[in-house]
Amino acid sequence: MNKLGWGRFFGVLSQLAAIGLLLVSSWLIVRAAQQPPVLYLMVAIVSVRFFGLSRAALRYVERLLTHDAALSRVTEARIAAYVELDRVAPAGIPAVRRGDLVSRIVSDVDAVQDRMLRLRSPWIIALASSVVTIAFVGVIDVRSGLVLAVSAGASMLLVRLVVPWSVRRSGDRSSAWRGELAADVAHGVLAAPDLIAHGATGLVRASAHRRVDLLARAQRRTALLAGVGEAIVIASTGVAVALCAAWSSGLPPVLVGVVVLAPLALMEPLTALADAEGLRPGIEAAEHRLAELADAPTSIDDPAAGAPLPQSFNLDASDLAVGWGSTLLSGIDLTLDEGDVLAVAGPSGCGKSTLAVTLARLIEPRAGSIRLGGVDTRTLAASDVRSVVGYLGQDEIVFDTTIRENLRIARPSATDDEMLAALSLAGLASFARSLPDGLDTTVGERGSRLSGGERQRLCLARLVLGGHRILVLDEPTEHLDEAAAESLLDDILALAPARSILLISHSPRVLDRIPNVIELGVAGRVPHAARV
Amino acid sequence: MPPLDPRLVRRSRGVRRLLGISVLLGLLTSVTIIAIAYVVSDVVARRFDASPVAALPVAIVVGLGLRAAITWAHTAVAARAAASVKAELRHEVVDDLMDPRRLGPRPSSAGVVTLLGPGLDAFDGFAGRFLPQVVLSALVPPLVLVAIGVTDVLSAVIIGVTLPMTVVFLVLVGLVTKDRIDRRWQALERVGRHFADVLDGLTVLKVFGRRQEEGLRQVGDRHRRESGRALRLAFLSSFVLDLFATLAVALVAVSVGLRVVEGHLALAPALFVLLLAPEAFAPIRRLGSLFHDSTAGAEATAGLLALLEHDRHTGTLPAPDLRRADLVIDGVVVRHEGRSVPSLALAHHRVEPGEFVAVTGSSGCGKSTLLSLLMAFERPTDGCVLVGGVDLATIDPISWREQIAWVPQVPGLVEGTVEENVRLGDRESSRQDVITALRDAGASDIGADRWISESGDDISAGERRRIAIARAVLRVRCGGASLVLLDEPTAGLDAGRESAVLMTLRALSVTVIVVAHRPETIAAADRELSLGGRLVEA
Repeated sequence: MNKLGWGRFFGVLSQLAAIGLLLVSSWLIVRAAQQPPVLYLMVAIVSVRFFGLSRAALRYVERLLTHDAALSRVTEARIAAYVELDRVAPAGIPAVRRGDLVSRIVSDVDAVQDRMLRLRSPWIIALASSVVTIAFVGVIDVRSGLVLAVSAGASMLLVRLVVPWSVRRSGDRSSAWRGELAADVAHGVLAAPDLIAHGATGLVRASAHRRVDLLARAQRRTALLAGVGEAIVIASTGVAVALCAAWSSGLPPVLVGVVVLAPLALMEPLTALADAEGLRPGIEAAEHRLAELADAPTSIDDPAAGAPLPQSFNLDASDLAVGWGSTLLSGIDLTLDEGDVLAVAGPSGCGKSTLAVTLARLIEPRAGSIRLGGVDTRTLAASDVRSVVGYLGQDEIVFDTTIRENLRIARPSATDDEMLAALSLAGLASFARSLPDGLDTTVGERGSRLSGGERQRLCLARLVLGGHRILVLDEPTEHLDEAAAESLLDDILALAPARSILLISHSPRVLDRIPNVIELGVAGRVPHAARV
Repeated sequence: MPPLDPRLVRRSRGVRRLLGISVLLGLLTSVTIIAIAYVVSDVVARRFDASPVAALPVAIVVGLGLRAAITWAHTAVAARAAASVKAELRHEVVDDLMDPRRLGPRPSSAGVVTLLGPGLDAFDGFAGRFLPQVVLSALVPPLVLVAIGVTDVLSAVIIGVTLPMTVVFLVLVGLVTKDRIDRRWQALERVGRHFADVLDGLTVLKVFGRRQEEGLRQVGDRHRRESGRALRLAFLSSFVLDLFATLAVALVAVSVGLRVVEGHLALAPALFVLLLAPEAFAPIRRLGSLFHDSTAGAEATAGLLALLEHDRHTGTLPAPDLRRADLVIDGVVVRHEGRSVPSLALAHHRVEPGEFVAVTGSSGCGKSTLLSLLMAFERPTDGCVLVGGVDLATIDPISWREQIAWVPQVPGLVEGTVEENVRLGDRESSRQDVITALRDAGASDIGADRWISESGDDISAGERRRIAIARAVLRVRCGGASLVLLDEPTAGLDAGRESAVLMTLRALSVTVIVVAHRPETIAAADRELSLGGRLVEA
């Protein structure tokens, strides 16, 4: 048996100890009323003390073992979610919702732990301890055993049916209002200064207040559904105790107490079920969302065996169409010879960034072909293509760790000298050297301790270190002020001709510096690209 | 952390009412618990004496039925109260966000949405479960103890000693293990963050061909091993609770058993005491299991109060006419909490009516802070802004803003047409005025009838800015505003539109203060107000 199994076994024993404590105690007291010699009570007294001490210890062991097991399972669940997301990304993940999606998956994965510890364990403990108690009572008196079986069974069944239903129902009732309120508030916060500045808060304020009230009304209406689980358990226990008491006339007096108190002893594990079932809808929803991830289409169809990577790194695309799900831009022809610099321009939203991720073989082209050294990239392994074509997205991620670790992602074996050389090409060497901790300086969450320019340069250094021969850079100078943008652009252009560079930008200042510019469609959805 | 933030009780009528009803229902619960124990022990004793049990089984059904009903009512009342408390607090937050006299930095919209949604839902657990249980834990054990004491003093002494000891040990265990447990939570958060980081950086990891299965496994395993010891401590408090509760019951059982043998105690009271003993501990044990509800509620309360507790603008004087009054910034320093360097420091500066001033300086030097100061959204920590010789802090902010047209970095829009959004600048203006304003703001390509959704997802940052410029233009032309404040209005605009916007602003011939990066904008101004270099952290 594994740790989880042992943990639950101890959990059942702990629950039985609690039940045993009450039942043996009652036997002890009733037997004592017959005033036998104290010696006759010794076994019961020892048992009572034993149960009294062991209950807590057993439960302690249970929790240690099951939590340990749950932690390993959560690790596995994280890996599984990562593998799925890695397969789906970036096509299956709209960039705008990425933050949301990530935080949701992170918390959804914890549902694995909740199911194990807070849903399944209480059920196993309740079922096992009920069966043992019912069997025990059944041996004493069949009729009472049946009463107990029916009442415990009814409690379990009702709790299983009613509690999740009531939670779902309350959730459904309020979720619509909740969403609208969130939208209203988000929008209110965003627009509040403008509304205040224009003395126009009235409308938004009134609508937010109305939604707050509607949400509260919906929640108050379902309030009666809360607590129904515990009430079911208590009421059915009441019936069982009463029936056992009413039908106990023929029993030996010492056993009456045991039979009558048995339903009361089962109340604790059954009430725990009511709490557990309250969590079920949340857990199932989380699992459902994770399962949906597994159904999402794969971003890239990788060939079973990739063709060998060509020596040359000329990149060219002909009649290429790109898009996420639907075609955004088509008829793109471009050639980027070894060591060339090419700029791709066009209004925002025309598909420039989509072209970039397509060229980096992160998503499939919609039509047409991309050739690397004359070989269609679809016949090459995607990871091979990406080892040649490096991509730096807008707002690229730097990890919340040291500069060194961020660079090691590009090449784990890199030495300090190699890292400094890459930083120097990205114009960051003197900055790195000026830091008291040098390469071991941490960059903060999403690089918050770096300026915008430093962050972009770190990403650039990472690409340089990765040894990519073609760099696809998506708006690298966006969000930088004039001077910083100019100097970053200088450093980028200096990376050619050792590398070819494809630069995506809409800034005239960037485009002015690059002789080769491809202008993508200006208006309309499926524009034609023209070579300038 | 106290289980109940007194500030919340003072603030929320819903919480006070819930506490009142809880006390009443808690008393009823105690009475039913005692009555049920009495009847059940009586039944067993009567069977022992072979005397008839009569209607006692019916009393048991009624008693437990009553207890079920009270428990249900208590939960339902608490859930209703939770909904009301949440609504109360939500109303308060909405009013606060829209309060024209609100001072200080504004919370992020994501932060407020989280706080008002999932954040406040913590009150479901807090008001719905934790608070009633606090009341039950305060009421049931003493009343049960009294019932036991009346029946059998020795048992009452056993429980009367162990019960406080449980609490003492809980506090001690809590004190000893707090650091370790806090560290464990931090470690757990780190694991979560690492996972979030990996998911966030999927594209980067793909670009470099780095698979993360092994890394995730290592981090997870390391965390599991490290948390083993911390868990042993973390579970100590529930161990203490369980141990004292069951041990006390066992002690009571053996003690009454031995006295029953000797004939010092009758069967019925002995059983009564046995049945009541666990009930003295049950509410506290349940309270222990609601630990999470309590911390989540405390966090939400703290977050909420942090949002609501801020300074308010108290000025009441009518605003001087800005067409004639000059604007003097006098030794102004703005400090923000948690920052060692002031967000803005400006010795002395005077702006004449009708001037076009470009505010420049690298990022972080306080350009936006200056605008928000002039909008009376913030107050200087030191120094003051004088309007025609009158301190802005003493002027009524509403009448002050009536004279200002304002274009922030990310302008807010409301759900509705573009026309409606432009017309926020002046509600009396005609459609033709709106269309002219849009044209002059370089936004003739944005249709006046275009619908802007609530989320504003369908509109680009540049379009947003141009709509806001049109709004400002309208506010000057039709609304009579005589001061225009703009924060990088031409960022993201192409050269043609940029010069059109600048020309329009110049032609307004009112005071214009514009935060600018671009050389073109700075060139268009009468003069440049440079806020100096980046204020480096000291």
